[in-house]
This record gives sequence, structure tokens and C-alpha cells, in this order.
Amino acid sequence: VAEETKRLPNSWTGGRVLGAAEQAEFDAFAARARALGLSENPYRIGSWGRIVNGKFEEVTRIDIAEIGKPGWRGKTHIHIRGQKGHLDPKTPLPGE
Amino acid sequence: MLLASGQWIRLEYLHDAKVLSVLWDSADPGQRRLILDVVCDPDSEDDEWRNRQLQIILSDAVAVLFRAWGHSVGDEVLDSWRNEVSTEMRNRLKELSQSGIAVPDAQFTIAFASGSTLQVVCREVSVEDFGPGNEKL
Repeated sequence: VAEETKRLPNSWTGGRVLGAAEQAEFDAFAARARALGLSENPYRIGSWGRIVNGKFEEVTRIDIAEIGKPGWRGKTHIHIRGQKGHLDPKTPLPGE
Repeated sequence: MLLASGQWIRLEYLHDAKVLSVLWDSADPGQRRLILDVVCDPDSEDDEWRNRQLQIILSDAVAVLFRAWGHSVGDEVLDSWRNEVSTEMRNRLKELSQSGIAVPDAQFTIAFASGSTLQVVCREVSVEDFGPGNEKL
């Protein structure tokens, strides 16, 4: 499912084929999330969380910058549940 | 406030807006509308929209494809707003056009953090400001 999802317009990428640098950022973040035992939302690349009572609860999400996009769409950042705002990707995840 | 086509880029600033509802409005027999109620992100870089509760009205919608995933709980937020639609939608529009249906120029794909997507083809976009975000529309 994940490979198919990356080509669909429901991901952060809008259906674009990811560039090597973008893929590397997603992969690096995925490695951190997996090390914490998190699972990826099958329909949104870069969104990691836990399955609780049959639902997906997001813990953290990375938004990779897209060249030419205004505002936060143009800047790579992460979100962490319980922490406000757009965070530096180097911000420790809960448990790191 | 009507958004002219040259201002649609501004809709990109709805990134991380909390989505309260998506409404298919058929109250007016002369047209269909797609309405999104959102609260803009307090961290938004759009000074005018920051932390405001907005109603985004997509008027005279001739086609909507909504693939919604409810498996993801917590706030639903708007991920991206693109001025394009999928190949599948373009093929459907071509069929409509060939049958004589007028296909308008405003064509958007709105992605949500859950992975849900909403494709809309409509005539115009307007934004109503309901003040500071309080989620009481």
C-alpha cells in the first residue's frame, strides 16, 4: 500500500515522484519513528503513530518542503503531538 | 470575499488549518457548493488569516471526488491545496465537456493529514471570515 500511496494525490507529495533528497528525508525520519515502535499511516507518507483501539493516533508527522511553495509548505518541519507549532526536524521525538 | 484566480496561491497558506467540516451544499437549486469550515493555524504565515475561523466556499461545483479516511483520529488538518486535479478527474471532465457540460477553470486537490483527499472543480472561490478561531460556526 505504501508504495502505491506515494504515487497518489493523497500524500504530501501530491502524486509527484519523490526526488532523491526528499526520499532521503522521509527515510531518515521513518528510521527514527520505527526505532520508537511507531507505525506509518498507510495513506499519508511521513505520518507516524500508534494503533489504539483500532484507530490510528498520530504521534509525529514530517512535512518535507516543496520548492516554490509559500509559507510552511516551503519549509521542512515536523509536528509532534502535544507540542505547538512547526518544529525543527531535529527536535527530539517523545522517547528519543 | 471573492478570491480572483490570481489569489488562489493564497490558499496554500491554509496548510495545517484545522478542518471542522466539509459540506456538500445543495440548498440553492441553481448550483452546488462545497463548503469547508476551518480554523487557520495560529502559526500561519498569512497575517490576515492566522488563527481565524474561515468558511471556504467553492461555488458552482460541477465535480467533486472525495476520498475520506476516518481511521485516523485526532484533529483533521489541511495538508495542502493544489491548483490541479488527477488524471482520473481530468478524464471525467473531458467526458463532461464532450457532452456539452461547461467545465469551469477552478480545479483543486485538497489533501488532509489523515491522507484523505478532496478534488473539486468549481467556478469560483470565496472566503468568509468569522473572526478569531472559536469553532462555533
